[in-house]
Amino acid sequence: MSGRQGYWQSVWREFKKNRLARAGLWVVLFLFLIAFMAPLIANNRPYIYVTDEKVFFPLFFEYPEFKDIDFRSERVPGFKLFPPVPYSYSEYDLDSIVSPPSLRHLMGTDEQGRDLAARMIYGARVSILVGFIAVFMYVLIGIIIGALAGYYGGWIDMLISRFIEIVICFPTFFLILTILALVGPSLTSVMVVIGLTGWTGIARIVRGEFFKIREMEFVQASRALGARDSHIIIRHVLPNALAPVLVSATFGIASTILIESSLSFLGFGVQPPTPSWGDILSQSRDFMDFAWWLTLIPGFAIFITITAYNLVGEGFQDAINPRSFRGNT
Amino acid sequence: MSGNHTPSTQAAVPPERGKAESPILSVRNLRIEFESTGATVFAVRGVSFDLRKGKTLGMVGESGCGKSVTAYSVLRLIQPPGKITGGEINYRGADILRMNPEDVRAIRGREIAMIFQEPMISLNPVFTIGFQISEAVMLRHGKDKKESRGIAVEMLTRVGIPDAEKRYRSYPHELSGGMRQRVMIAIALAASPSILIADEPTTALDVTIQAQILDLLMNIQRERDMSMLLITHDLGIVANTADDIAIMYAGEIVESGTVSQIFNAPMHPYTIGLFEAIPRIGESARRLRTIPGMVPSLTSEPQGCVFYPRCFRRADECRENPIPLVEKNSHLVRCVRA
Repeated sequence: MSGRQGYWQSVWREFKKNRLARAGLWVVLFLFLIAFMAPLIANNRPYIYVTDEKVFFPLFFEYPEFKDIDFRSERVPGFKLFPPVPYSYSEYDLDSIVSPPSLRHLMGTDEQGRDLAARMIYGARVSILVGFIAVFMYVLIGIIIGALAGYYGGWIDMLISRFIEIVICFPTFFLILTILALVGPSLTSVMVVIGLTGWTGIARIVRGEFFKIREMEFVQASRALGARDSHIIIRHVLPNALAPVLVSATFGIASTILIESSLSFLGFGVQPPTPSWGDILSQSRDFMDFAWWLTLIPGFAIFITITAYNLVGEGFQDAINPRSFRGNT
Repeated sequence: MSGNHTPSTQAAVPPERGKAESPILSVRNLRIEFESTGATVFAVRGVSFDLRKGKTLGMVGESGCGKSVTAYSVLRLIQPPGKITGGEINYRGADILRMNPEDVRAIRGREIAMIFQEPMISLNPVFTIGFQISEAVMLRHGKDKKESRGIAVEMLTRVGIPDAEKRYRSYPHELSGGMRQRVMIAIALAASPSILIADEPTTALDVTIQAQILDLLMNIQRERDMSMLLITHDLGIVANTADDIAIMYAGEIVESGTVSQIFNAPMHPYTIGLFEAIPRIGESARRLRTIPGMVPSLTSEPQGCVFYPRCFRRADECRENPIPLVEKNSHLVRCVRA
């Protein structure tokens, strides 16, 4: 390490050397972009609609005169510029039910005539939302619980560690299923339930890191300077414990997306009409023998997303560990 | 500043005075125990010493003799399984061991500061050194960011860090060990403490840097009329820097007095052994001289003299009763045969 740079800068430099991790990061960013821009990519209203007298922007503004009008219809005259996928995720095209990918429907349609491309694009939102919010929740819980156990040790650690072990004993997926069966499935409850059950791994990592770091001399030094416990924990111990937590969180996002997909596949996840990749996959079961696109496309999307997050996590893990430096790749 | 200790440093120390002046820190009968699986280690047993205002007390002893835990206990920094089980630590008329934790926290850093053995790991690796010094300043003086920054740069310059403005933005891994120890000193001195506890401040540094750091500590000490408790295993260091010496062995002080008393007329067989173990230039010894035997395990309270098994002067009487620390030849020694 040379030159003036902080820890995270050198981590980033190491990360960039890893080609697979870089590719994974691009995929993740691409998914973010799609999720963020979903209404701009898949929409049944045009960006611009020009009639003889006026220019309208139906996608961005509501016009009372166009209420319930299908802009795609031949009966609406004028110049129209549509998004790449001119369908909303919940509208039915009854002329083409379970139709394979074509110019009209780039990824085909499902059994209700809904455009698969539009549904996949909106499904990316669910994946990212669930992945990030649930993981953010459990990372926060895990850090607090792990920090208490690791910093104070003794009987506090005893209690917390036993509690963690009890929570770990439950098979997480069935625990989530059970709770969802009780509170009712919805996007919010999926996030909250995963958030409340997933923290054990993070808590253990944080606890271990705190045990290690609190013995370091700079913690003693800070205590000798008269710093409060809260100050020591937040300023000195936590920043040094964060790297492995972030690595674990990256892997956590991947597994959370998978859990969400599985829950939706079983019908306990996101409820229709909100599209979710797991739900699309689940619906495809009945047509699997001929409608390959309904199975392959969401399955592939899930696979690519999980792989991308895992590659990022792995690259990150290598980058924070100076011993695993591989030199120049 | 040079690494060259001239005899004039010694001459600057005023000659012997009566003990009339009351010490700034006075430790009495300090006892520290460590609870390990199934056994209690009596790490420090009845240690008493005084730290005079503006003076340096060198506490010398080998690894595990209890000198560092004694130092830590002054700020109540002993962590479980260690425990202070008795004694008094009087600072400005109050017993630190009987204060509530908030009052102890107020003393830490502000009144009594500490620097540590390993400058490599005494700084938080994720923050710049400037941030860490300003933090110490803010923590103690309640100054705002800008003022703290100014004080921090001033401190860095004072401890001899060249180009302090630039170094302010450096991370600890970009500095050498000597530089980091200077930064630690700057942090410790940020609040102008009246006592500095230095726990083997130069052990991890090479010899030339050692001399520079000790010089720096002595200069600052003289400037500020600060008292210093210097923990070391190196008699050479105390000879040059300390005014008083306390020799520790196996959790007890076995001999204490002024530097000249101890160096001119060591009385305890352990102290004598330590002096003999120092290799001398011009002496053609094929082997370094050592003290035979091992430091005893302290899992039980020793009956008589702790040094008995290794002593060249031992007699049966040494084994019977605990040996008191008594004044002989005008300084204190814990030996019946001295």
